[in-house]
This record gives sequence, C-alpha cells and structure tokens, in this order.
Amino acid sequence: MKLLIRAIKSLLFSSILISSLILFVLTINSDLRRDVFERAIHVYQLHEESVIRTLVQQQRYAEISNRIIQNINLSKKISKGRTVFLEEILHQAEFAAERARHGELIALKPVFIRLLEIDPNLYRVRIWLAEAIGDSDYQEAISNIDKAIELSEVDEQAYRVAIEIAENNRDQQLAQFYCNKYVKANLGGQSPKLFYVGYPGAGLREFSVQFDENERQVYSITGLKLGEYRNYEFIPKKTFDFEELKLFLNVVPGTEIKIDSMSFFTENSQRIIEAQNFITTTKSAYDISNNLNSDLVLVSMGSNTEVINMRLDKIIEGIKKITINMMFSRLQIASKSVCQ
Amino acid sequence: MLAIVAFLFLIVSSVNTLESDLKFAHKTDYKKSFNWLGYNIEVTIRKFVRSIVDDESIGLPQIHLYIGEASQQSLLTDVPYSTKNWVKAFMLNNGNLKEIKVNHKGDNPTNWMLYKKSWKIKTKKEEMFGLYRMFNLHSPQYKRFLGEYSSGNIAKRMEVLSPKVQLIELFINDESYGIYIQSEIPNEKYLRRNNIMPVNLYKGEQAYSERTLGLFYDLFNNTSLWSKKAIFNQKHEQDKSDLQNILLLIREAETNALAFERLIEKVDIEIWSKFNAYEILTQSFQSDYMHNQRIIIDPWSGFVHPIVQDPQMQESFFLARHDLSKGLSLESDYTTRTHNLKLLLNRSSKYIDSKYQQLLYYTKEKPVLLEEAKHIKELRELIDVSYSRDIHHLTFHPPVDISNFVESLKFFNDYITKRLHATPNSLWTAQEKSFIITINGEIPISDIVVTFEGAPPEWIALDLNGNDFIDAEDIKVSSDKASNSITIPVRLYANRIMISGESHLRDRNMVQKDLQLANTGFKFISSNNIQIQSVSAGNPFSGNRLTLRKRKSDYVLPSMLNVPLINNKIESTVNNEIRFSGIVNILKDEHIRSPVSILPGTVINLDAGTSLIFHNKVTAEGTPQSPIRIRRKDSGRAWGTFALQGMKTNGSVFSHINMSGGSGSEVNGIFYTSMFSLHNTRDITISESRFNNNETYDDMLHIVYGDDITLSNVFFRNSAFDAIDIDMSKNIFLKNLNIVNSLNDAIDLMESEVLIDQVFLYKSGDKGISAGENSNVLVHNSLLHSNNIGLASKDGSNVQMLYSNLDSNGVQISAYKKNWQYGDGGHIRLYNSIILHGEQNFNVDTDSNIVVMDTTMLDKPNQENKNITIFSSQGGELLNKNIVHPLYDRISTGGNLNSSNNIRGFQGFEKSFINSDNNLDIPLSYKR
Repeated sequence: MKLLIRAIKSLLFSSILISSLILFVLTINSDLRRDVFERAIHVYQLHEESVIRTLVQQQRYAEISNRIIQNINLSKKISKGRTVFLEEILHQAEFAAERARHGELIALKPVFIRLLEIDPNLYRVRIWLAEAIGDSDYQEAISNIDKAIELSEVDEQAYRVAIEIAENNRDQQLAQFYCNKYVKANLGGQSPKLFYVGYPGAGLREFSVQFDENERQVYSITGLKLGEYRNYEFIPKKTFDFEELKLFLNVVPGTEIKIDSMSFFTENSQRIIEAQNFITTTKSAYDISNNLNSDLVLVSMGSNTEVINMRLDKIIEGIKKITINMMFSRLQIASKSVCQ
Repeated sequence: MLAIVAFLFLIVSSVNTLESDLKFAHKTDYKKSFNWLGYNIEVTIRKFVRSIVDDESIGLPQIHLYIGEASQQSLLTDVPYSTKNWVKAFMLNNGNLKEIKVNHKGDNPTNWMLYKKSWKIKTKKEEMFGLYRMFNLHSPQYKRFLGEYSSGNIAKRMEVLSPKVQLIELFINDESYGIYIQSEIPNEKYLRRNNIMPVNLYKGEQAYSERTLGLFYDLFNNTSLWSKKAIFNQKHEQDKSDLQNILLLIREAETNALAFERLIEKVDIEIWSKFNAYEILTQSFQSDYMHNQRIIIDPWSGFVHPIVQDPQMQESFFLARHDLSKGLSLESDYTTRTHNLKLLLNRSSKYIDSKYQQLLYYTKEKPVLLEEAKHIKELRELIDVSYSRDIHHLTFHPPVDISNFVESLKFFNDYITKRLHATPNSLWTAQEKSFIITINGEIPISDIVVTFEGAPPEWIALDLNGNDFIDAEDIKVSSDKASNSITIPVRLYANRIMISGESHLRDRNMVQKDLQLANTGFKFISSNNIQIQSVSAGNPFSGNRLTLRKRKSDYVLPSMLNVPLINNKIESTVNNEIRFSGIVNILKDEHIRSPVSILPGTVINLDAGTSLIFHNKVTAEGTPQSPIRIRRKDSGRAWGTFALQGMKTNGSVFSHINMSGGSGSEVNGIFYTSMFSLHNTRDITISESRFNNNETYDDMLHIVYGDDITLSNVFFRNSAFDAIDIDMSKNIFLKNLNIVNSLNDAIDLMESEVLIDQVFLYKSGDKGISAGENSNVLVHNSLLHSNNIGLASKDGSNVQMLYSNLDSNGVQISAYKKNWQYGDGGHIRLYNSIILHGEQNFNVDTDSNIVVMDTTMLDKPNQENKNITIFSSQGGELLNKNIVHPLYDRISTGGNLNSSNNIRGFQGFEKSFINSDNNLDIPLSYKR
C-alpha cells in the first residue's frame, strides 16, 4: 500500500514537474509557443474537416449542422466575434453547402444564421442562406441576395440564385431586374483562398499585356470598360519588335471578349491588323467568332486569370505604341424568356 | 515554503503570459510571436528605476486620465471586440475632474496589449472641449515617433486635410505613460471644423478585424469595403452611389481622355497633387489600396478630398541622408500597394506638373520641412523631459535622436529642391520636314526654342498623335519672321508607364504596380523643309536653360494622358466666349465650360427638370427695359437649377435678371437644392433682380462655399421653403433686399459671415433671419415684419442687430441651442432698435443669451430672464457697444453708434422696392 502511495506521489510529482517544465518552456520561448498554439489549432481543424467530409459523404446534414454549430460555439468561447477558427468553419460550411441538395441545405440554415451573426459581411453565406430559404421565406431570401450583391456586385452566384428564387415565386419582374443588374455590374469580386499565376481574385477589373515572355514585367490597364469598344493603349518602356503577346485578363466566367483589331505605331507609320489575322490560343476561353465580322470573339470560362496568346506569322519592327480595340461584355445567365 | 511560493509565482506568471499571448496573437488573424516574459521583466525594472530617478519635472503638455483598474481590465476581456466598448473614466480639466468615456484606439493588438496603450476619449455631449467631443491619444508605434508626429504636423502646415496633432505626456492614475500624440478623429465634427459641409466621409480599411472575408481587398474596386464616418443627410445612410460613381469614373478615365477631364473636375488636381506632394515630402505613404483611406465626397463643391490617416515617415526619409542609392522616387511610393487613382493621376502630365509645383512651393516658398525642424528644436527640452519618463520607448524602440531627425528634415528639403532643379535629359533629332524631341527622366523641358539655319518655316506644329498630319487638336506655332528662331511655349514630360509583375509574392504579382519612366519622343512638323541649327529648352522649376544635344535615341510615343502643357499665356489669348441672346431653349442638362455672356433681353426657357450649370465666368447684365428672363419652357412643370459651379466662375455678374419657376436638381453627382445655386465661387454680384416662385427643393437661392458675394436691390417672392440659404460662406453682403412670403425662412445661415443691410423680411412662414451653426451676422437698418419668428440665433452663432425694427413677429427674438455638435447656444446683441407688436419679445434657453441696448420695446416691456440683459444709456452717458464684425465698415451709413443713444429703429431704405411694388401688402406706416 505504502509502495502504491509512494508510486502515486511520485507519478503526481513527476507529472506536475513535467507540466510545469512545459509551461515554463512555453513561457520563455515565444516562437515555440506560437508554433505549438498554431499546430494544435491546425490538428483540431484537420480533424474537424475530416469529420465533416465523412458526414457529407454519408449525407447526414442534420449532424453536419450540429457539428459546425459546436465549432461555432467553441469559436465564440475564444471571442464573440471573428476568431482564428472562423475561416476554417467557413470552409466546413462551404464544403457541406456546395455539395448539398436543395432540401439538405435547409438543415444548414442555423449554421448560416449563426455565421452571419458573427460576421454579416460573408458573401457566400448570404447566398447559401437565400438558397436555403428561397421557398419558405421569399422576402428574407431576396434581402440576403441584395446584401450579397451589395458586398460584391460583379459575382454571378447571387444573380443566379436570385433569378431562380424569383422564377420559383413567379416574379418575372424581379427576375428581369436581376438580369439587367447582372450585365452592367463590374465592381467587387471574390478572393479565393488559392491563387494561381496572374490575378489573385476574380473580378472585372483589369488586364495586362506581356510582349516578351522572358521578361517578368507586364503592362497593365486598370480601367476595363463593359459594353463599349475601347482603344486600350499600351506603351512599352522601349521600342521593340512585335511577334506575339500574352493578354492576362482579370475577368469573371461568362465574359465575352471581342477583339476587333490591333494598331501598331512605329516611328513614321501606324499599321492596323484585324484580330482574326492573329494565331490565337487561350488558357480556358472558347472562341465563338463567326464569319459575319472580323472580330475575334472569346468567352472566358474559368474563375482564374484568363490568358490569351496572340501571335503573328511575321515580325513588325520598331513598335513604339500598341492599341488594342476591344470590348468586354457579360453573357446572360438565363434565357431570353426570363431576361427580356 | 519559499520554494513553493516561488514555484506558484512562476506558475501564475506563466499562465498570464500564455493568456496574453493568446489574446495578442491567436484570437484573430494577427500572428506575430512576442517575448512577453522579457518584455514584462524589462518594463518592471524600468518602472522601478524610474521611480527612483524621476524628479517629476514638467515636460510636454500633460493629460491626466483616471481609469479604474476594473474598467481597464474590462476593455481586454474579449479582445479585439471589447476594446471598442466605452468605459467610464475621468480627465483632469482646468483643475477639475470631468467625467469622460474611454476605449482603445486601433485594431492592431500593439495598440492595446502592451504596457503603453492607445486611447480614444469621448466627452458627454453637453461637456465638450470647445468644438471637440472625441479625440485620440495615440501611442506612437514606430521607432521614430517624431516621424509620426511631424508628418501629421507638416500636413497641417501644408493645409492638407489631416487630423490636428499635438505631442503630450499622458498620465493614467498619476503614473506617466510617456509621450503620446493627441489627434483629432475624422467625423462630422471634423468636417465642420474644417469648413466642409456635413457630407459623406468614407473610411476604407481592409486590415485586421476590418477585413471583409472572402472578398478581394482592393478598396478602389468595391464600395462595400468602405464605411461611412460622416453622412450626407440628404441621401440614405446606406447610399454609396457617390463613391460608386467615383470608382467607375476612375476606371473610365484610364481609356478615355474626356472621362479623365470629368474625373479631375471631381478629383481636383490641386487638392490631390498637394496631398501627393505631402506624401513625398514626408515619405509618408500610408493611404494605399487596402487601408488607411479616408476620403470626403462633397456633393456641394463636387470635390473628392483625401484625408491623411495614421501618417508616419518611412525609413526612406531617414536613410536618404546617408544613402541616396535607395533611389527615392517622385512618382511612386514604394509601399507596393499604390492605389489605382494615384497610379492614374501620376501618368497625367497635368497632374505631375501640379505636383512638382507644389513640391517646389513647399520647399522654396514655404519650406514646411525647415519650419518643422525649427519647431522640433524648440520642443526639444520638453520632449527630453517626457521622453526620460517613457518606459515604453526605452524598451520597445531604440533611442530617439532628435538632432538627427532635425538634420534629416533639413536635408530632405534641400534634396527635393535639387531633384527639381536637375538638368532635364532631352535630345533632338531631325528629319526632312519634321524633328523629334525626346525627354527622359523626372524633369520636364519647357519653352523650347528652335533656331534655324536661314529663314524659319512659316509654322511648326506639335503632332500629338504622331500621324504626320496636322489635326485640329495639334499645337501650331507661327514664326514671327523677324528672327531665325521659333519659341514653342510648351512643357513636355516623359511617359510614366504602369508596370506590374515584378513582385516577389506570387499573389501580388499582378496587383502590385509601379510607374516607370520611359524615354518619350514628341514629333514636330514644319511647314516646309528645314535646317535646324540648335534646339534649347529650360527646366521650368529652376529656370535654367540648356542647349539640347542632337542625337538619335530610342524612344516611345507619348501616352494618352501625357499631353504637352501649353503656357497659360497662350491659352488666355484664346477667345472662346459663348454668347446667349434672343430666345435660348434648354432641353437637357447643359454644362457650359467656357465664359458666357448673356445679352440684355435674352429669354432662357428651361425644359421641365433641366438644369444649366456654368463652370466658367458668366456676365449676365440686362437693363431695366430689357431684363434677362430665366423661366419655364413648360409653364406647368418646374425646371431644375441655374448654377455657378467652381472657382472658374469667379467674377460673374448678374443684373436685371428675372428668374422664376425653377426647383433644384442633382447633376453629375452635385447636389443643387435651389433654383439659383452658387457653389464654391467668389466675387459675385447680383443686383436689380427678381426671383419668384420656385418649388420642390429647399431654397430659392443657395450659396455654399461662397466668398465675397454681394446681392443688392433684389426681390425674392413666394419661395417654396427658404428664400436665401447661405452655408459655409464669408464676406456675404445682402443689401436692400425685399424677401416676401417665404414659406420657411427668409434668410437661413450656417457657418457663415454675413452683413445684412437695409432688408425687408416680410411674412416668412418660419424665421426672418435664422443664424445657425457658428454664423457671425451683422444686421443694420432692417425691418423684420410679420414673420413667425423675427430673428433667431442658434448653436454658437452671434448676431448683432442695430437700427432695426422687429414688428409684429410671433416671437421677435429667439436664441437657443439646437445642434449639440456646436456645444453652445445662440447669442444676440440688439442696439438702438425698436421691438413692437409681437406676441412674445424674447425666447431664450439656458445655453444662450440676449443683450439689448438702447432699444425701445413697445407693448411688451422687459422680460425677466437671467439670460436676457437690458441696458439703456442714462442721460449723456453712452453705453460701450463695441460692435465687432468683419463687414462692419461696409454698412451703408457708417452708423456711428456711440454718437447717440436717441436714434432708434429702422431708418428707411436708400432705395426701396416697397414703394414701387403695388402688389405688396405692407403696413402703411413703413411706406415712406
């Protein structure tokens, strides 16, 4: 018995000593402390993500809702507002919401409401909520859509959901309203967590031109104009011989890019070449040009930077300025019977 | 036992450290590791040392706060959100403790997690410090705290909109927390203090807890990333259409020269280039595309104003003295986060030229850096005293070297001047009938003199688009034949080209942009073959001239925004005046940007809702026989506004105008609330005119941001609301006016300085004269008759009235506090006047006062009230009336009050419409 007590005492003493030692080390070493904190959080997040994946796979949306709400509660214990957990919780919600059928989305409604209580400016949560309640609470759904459009007017998701809700509720006028608003919208844009070569967020902001692939620098235009042909002017740092160019476009999916022509300015002349005369390839856009006019017409599909390569079969020497005559517009997201 | 106590102490300390670290680095997205243990030990030791060596001598001005321990802790219970809760505290003010509220300023945890915290102070509404209710006590975060203070101070010296700053020493519960920067908070009161109307003040922040999750962070690409700190109350609180219009116009202007012109009407080149010059002079580039943006969009002046936010001088400022290889740029700002508007403006030669002029002015004419150096030297002893008590600066930052800072200021002043005085890098090369001048580098060339071998050509033209033809917009200069040279009065800049793709971070690669200089060639065409002997040009900033070398160089063509700047002398000779005569029909909103002359007898018919906006000088002088009539085209529907907008309209003249049937409008983002609108203009005279029957909008005539405006012999009748509304204006002279049957006020004033002489204000639905919000008004020889309230003064306004009659008004005189933001009531002094036939003579609240001297009060004798004081001269002894007003000398009769106490009341008009207007139903006694 004495031996047992001694063993327990010894164990207790050792554990106190070890715990204290860990505590002291963490107190003294700030870098280690930060690493430990962060890794602990990451391990927990990894575990939660894996649980959510499994539940989504098994279509257990009520449990997913409870699980995410538990995580929200945990986050609220750290702080009432946004915490380090929030972005991860949003990913969990996104994973579940983007894979949910319409009926299943309703099960996530409490999650969306709780998330919006923490931060009312969550664009995608607003849309999920609108989608979830579109049939049951039409006005509230539209109000969430409007708030989402206010946050980022250029993104198509809000309009698609809005038109769907309006059509389901036989509100043709409202559907038309969102159709019209969509084609003119060009401010805002999301910032995906992952980034690729080019622009970090999707939008209808700007584009750049690279004349020489061996150089890192590109010439930018930050004033992309919707619905009108414009001469976009690019002046190189020094005279160069043109063979090809790369256009990097920060455009949203469904953007129609009409390129009419390119003008090349040399010391004593200006040469205009129609866009159809270029050999053109793209990263993800589709060519829908027809024979009715000379425009090169492309439609962007990806939500990341679109890249258009244009080359000539001969070299134009001594370029001092280039203008590209082109127009950007947005393709409709619903049929004419809805939007016109 | 001792070991156990020590052990427990260590445990508690460790837990505290972990808790601090959790709050500091792990609650939100701020993740900087911090050595709390070392920091706490050092602070404790330094506090101990200070307690021994501090001799309590006085240094910088002191602010003493008393904040309970529980209150301080409550601000940190749930960071960062709890830091914004207001908690009760006290502040020592003139020896008395004043109850205030405090919270922590800023989102960066260094503002509230360390020993020295930043504070925001708020008083009760009724206990403001003058016009201040809130201010910041900012703990300087950067190692050169003087750089933070001085950059704010230099902004004020340059009259760039910025919070006023002061260095102070803060004591909390009688313990010194060292040096702080006291600064204003940009909000509605800030606007009023800076003579800007209450309009939308936007805050753009995408850092720390203010970042919008999931959205791209470029403030200039999304209105939802901005919030409002002050609100234009004529629009919905959530309305951001003004901001949206500006963001879209910035985009549009990049590819459209006309849109760029429209943009710089709003983003005024002088305002923004001065702001940019300030940033360069202080190397303070905090306002970028994702944070520290504060802008005012003023729908009255039409301008967008930037405000300095969290200024600090960057390393480059201090390093320049020792290492010029760091290559300071006068174009871009090295923050890697330059916003699109700045990138756009800095490609415009007009803007760059204005920016360089500002830099030159503030280094040569008004050397603000040298002034600041002197100021810091004067403060040095006080700073040293407070600095010696500043534990935080000694622990957290390296020591401050004031001498080095002062020398850096002096060096930088000279350095900028030298940069602007540098020799331009320009060459020329000739072809048969043309020649090309190239320019590279920051500095432009100007006043180019081309000398020919033999006779000069008939003319030389600058081929702007490089197409080898002379187009309408090309600049053509003729030779004078007398000499063999031609002077081309232009200023040429090199292109600034926007480049991206050079960032070290993949996700910033395309976003991070820079402006780089490119050798730019301008092509000149001559009338015939030429043999050029030499070409010379000058540096417009130094005045030095140089002979350009003849050499071919690789160049590019000028960009759309890089236009040659023509000398003002040339522009002013162009006579582009527009004449209005006969019948002019206006069928849609028209903006007229040329000078306009409206001839006598002209009839301007405006279609329903349409407006006529003049952006240049207007001369509209009718005659008694042929007045100029401005009226409805469709008699049943009101037109919009007839407006003068902006400083180019200065000097406009209107006489014998009959205007009727207008309303107001919102045109091009500018809000016109009246039939006749004078916005942001000066030196205007309106005489012998009549204004009748407006509708819908607030005023018949609205003057805002006006200066030196005179109305004489003008009749206003049947205004829908106020007849004359004057806001934020000075030197306004209203003489010999008749204002009859206004549904609301006859004259409504806000923050204005006005002389009202010989006016007749009759039957106003509300007040005859309503002086509000800090106005300063002198009323002389006037008759206020049958108004609901005769004369009212509110919210810090001062009205002095002499030789006037207040007759038959419901309330004759009223003084009160309406808007708490002014922290004061109204003040009225009445001299040698007559009050009669009113229902009530005085109405005054506890914040206001009325002083009455040598005034006759019939019907209702003296009213008892401690805020009403009534004096009367006794026998030959005169009262000291001491009338002080900036426009006193312009009173028509000169009225020397002190000469007599017997003359009282309204003395009649020099010239009056009263007698000549048969439709006017006025008391017989005033028909003289």
